[in-house]
Amino acid sequence: MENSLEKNPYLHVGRASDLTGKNRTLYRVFEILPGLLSFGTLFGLVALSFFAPALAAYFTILFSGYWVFKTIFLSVHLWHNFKRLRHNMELDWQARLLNLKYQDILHLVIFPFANESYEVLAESISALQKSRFPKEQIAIVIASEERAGADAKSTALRLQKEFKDQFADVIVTVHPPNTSGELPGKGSNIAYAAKEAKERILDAKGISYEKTLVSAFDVDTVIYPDYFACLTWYFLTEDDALHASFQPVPLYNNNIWNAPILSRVLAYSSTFWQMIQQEMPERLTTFSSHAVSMRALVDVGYWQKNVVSEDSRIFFNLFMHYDGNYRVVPMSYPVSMDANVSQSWFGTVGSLYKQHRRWSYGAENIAYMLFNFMHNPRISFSKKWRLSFIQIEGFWSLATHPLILFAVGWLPLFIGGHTFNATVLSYNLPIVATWFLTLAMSGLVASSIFFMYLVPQRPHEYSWRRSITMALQWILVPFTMVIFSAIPGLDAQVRLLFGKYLGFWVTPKNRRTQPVVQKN
Amino acid sequence: MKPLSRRTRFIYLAVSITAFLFTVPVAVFYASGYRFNGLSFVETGGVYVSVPLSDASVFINGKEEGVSSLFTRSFYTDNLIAGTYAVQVSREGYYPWVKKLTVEARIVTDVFAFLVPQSTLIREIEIREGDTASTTRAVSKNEYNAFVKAFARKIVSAPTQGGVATSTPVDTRAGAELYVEDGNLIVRWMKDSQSVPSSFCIKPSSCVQEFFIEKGRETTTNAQFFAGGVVYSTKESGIFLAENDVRPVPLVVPLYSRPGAQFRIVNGALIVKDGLSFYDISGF
Repeated sequence: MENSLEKNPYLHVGRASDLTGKNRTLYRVFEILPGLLSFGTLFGLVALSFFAPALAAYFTILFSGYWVFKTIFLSVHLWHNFKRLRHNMELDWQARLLNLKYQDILHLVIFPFANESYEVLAESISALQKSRFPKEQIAIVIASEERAGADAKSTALRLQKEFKDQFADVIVTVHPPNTSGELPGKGSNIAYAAKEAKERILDAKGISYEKTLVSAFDVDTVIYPDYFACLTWYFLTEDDALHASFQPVPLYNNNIWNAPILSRVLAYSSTFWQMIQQEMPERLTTFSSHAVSMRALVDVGYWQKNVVSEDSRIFFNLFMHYDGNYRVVPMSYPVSMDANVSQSWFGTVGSLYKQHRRWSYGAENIAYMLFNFMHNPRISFSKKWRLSFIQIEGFWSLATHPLILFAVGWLPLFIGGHTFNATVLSYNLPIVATWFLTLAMSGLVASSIFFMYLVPQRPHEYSWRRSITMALQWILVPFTMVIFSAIPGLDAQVRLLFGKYLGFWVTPKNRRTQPVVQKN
Repeated sequence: MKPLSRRTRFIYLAVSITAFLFTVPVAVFYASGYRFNGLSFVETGGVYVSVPLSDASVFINGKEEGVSSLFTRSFYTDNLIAGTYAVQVSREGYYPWVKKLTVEARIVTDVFAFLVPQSTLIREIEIREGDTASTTRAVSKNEYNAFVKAFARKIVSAPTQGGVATSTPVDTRAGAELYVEDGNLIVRWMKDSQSVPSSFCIKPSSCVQEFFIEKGRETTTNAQFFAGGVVYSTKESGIFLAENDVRPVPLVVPLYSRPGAQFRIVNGALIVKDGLSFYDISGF
């Protein structure tokens, strides 16, 4: 880690306040950029609607048309990934390993753990137990938090005791609280856990860092039986695999049947977005449950401990450290996770909002990326340009497009004034925009079909009415796009804009009943 | 199975962009009112008819555009070449409403159909306890006194000086004011000319700040906005309900045809005083 920081002193910058002088100012400008772009776009459109409503109306029509073709374009990618995902799930990955030398590969699986119940973590570890990949090549790290107290510690020890003999190793790490320079949360916990595991398992047993793949799971990540065989296959067949992270597709199937409708729509919207990205590897960054070699982790100093978005930040850390020679390999193979569910409906809405705000806070990577690009001449201009465009456009569109489509774009009708309101354009704007948006609904139909294929079979306690509801739930997407994408996106960007930085928020893992996990 | 190749993705992208480039300009032209006619584009306008009641049929140049319902109270017809169009709204039991509207290119001419029932109910007002009958309306003494008090207020017809009204308006509603001047009935738009409603526009590009509802033919004594139009009384013929729209041909319907009859709007009801008797006119 010292070497990595000597090579790049800005590798673990978390925010502008970590820097001084001109660097601090520059980083601050980059932090302001996403919010400035998003609010500039929205306020610009409001002003245009007021001062030049006809121009604003033309923009809305153009934008609606753009949205239709973007939806179709993305749906084609989703469809292709859907086919690939199903194909990959039907393959016998263990058999595919037979011609490869995989016996010296170790999978180190980290489960960051705070106050979650024994059952949640036990289910995740039990799924590892059912893995077809040799269990003696899987080591488990139960990464607990000291601040979680005695109950959490006893849960961790109980799990260690129960599963210790069934894997290469099961260790419990206890992340100390209030460590200087750390943001309490998953990043600092798994960084601590990975370092501990390196020393206690790899170094102690003389296992090569290059042969160890670290999976940064969430506590609710449940694998399918061939997951580690699939991951191993990708690792062994990928060129220059030590300069790559491996990203599965998160399916939120653990509790999908008993999750409320908003949770289901949002969970699978995330899944579909991830599936689309899997067909566009150059746009892909690491997300929950990614895997990375221990070599890379040691080189880069593990996950960054002072950021909220450690899942995606690790990609940027590695990209900078290896001077742009780093990528994410899409596995098109799923892991199953929990849809966000709280004890009450309003609690769930609040949790969903906070979860999406935390994800949207990934916009903090923009400042990190641009700042590091300016200090790293070894990365090619084309790589810098491409990644910058993808990231900035991604967070800008997340925060602005739903609002343009469903709110701001219609403003000329309300504030365009008497003269504009008498024009044919004013009368035709809602008609033409509605045509386009209706066409774009075809994407929702596709979502509904893919969803019904990907969820587990309906449990006996639910009637066919539940299936109907689940098929029709996608009509909520315009609403969820605004409330759970655009608004939390803007919220996150405002925090960056004003330097009111977000802390880590742990998504509660509540289940109304015991989960339904495996797809039949 | 591999991810989509760069080549395949490029083809998808190219097809999407091409489709966008072909479709969106067509949508923009269409939305602006351009239509392909013969071998050239023509600019068109439209008509927007608001209908206050269900079951009314809307016609433009004799062609039925639709029938109003609880949920459909407006009809937008586009693709109209600039020119004059006869808009008619008919409903059983109501006076047929016809309006000649000028349509201009890229502009929508909007109009509110003024539907007046052919038969209204006129009942004499009596002070008594008990039910209201078909020819009389029973009111309490207090209500009756309210009518007496309303009619005690005098409506003064004022002259003009050098074309400038010296009178105060007899009624005001949503930026429009009614004036009775020299026995004429005038409606004036009191806000800026940019916000003048279409009822003040002979055609979309030619609007006025005021127009006459009654000019020179009879002597207006009083007027008020009522039932979507204007109710007014004349010395010579009685009480009328007129459409508040400059475009031809404004509908004027007699409500109470007795010279000298006066009216007031009391608590939303149209009350007529004829001699010493009070009448209630309802059914709008």
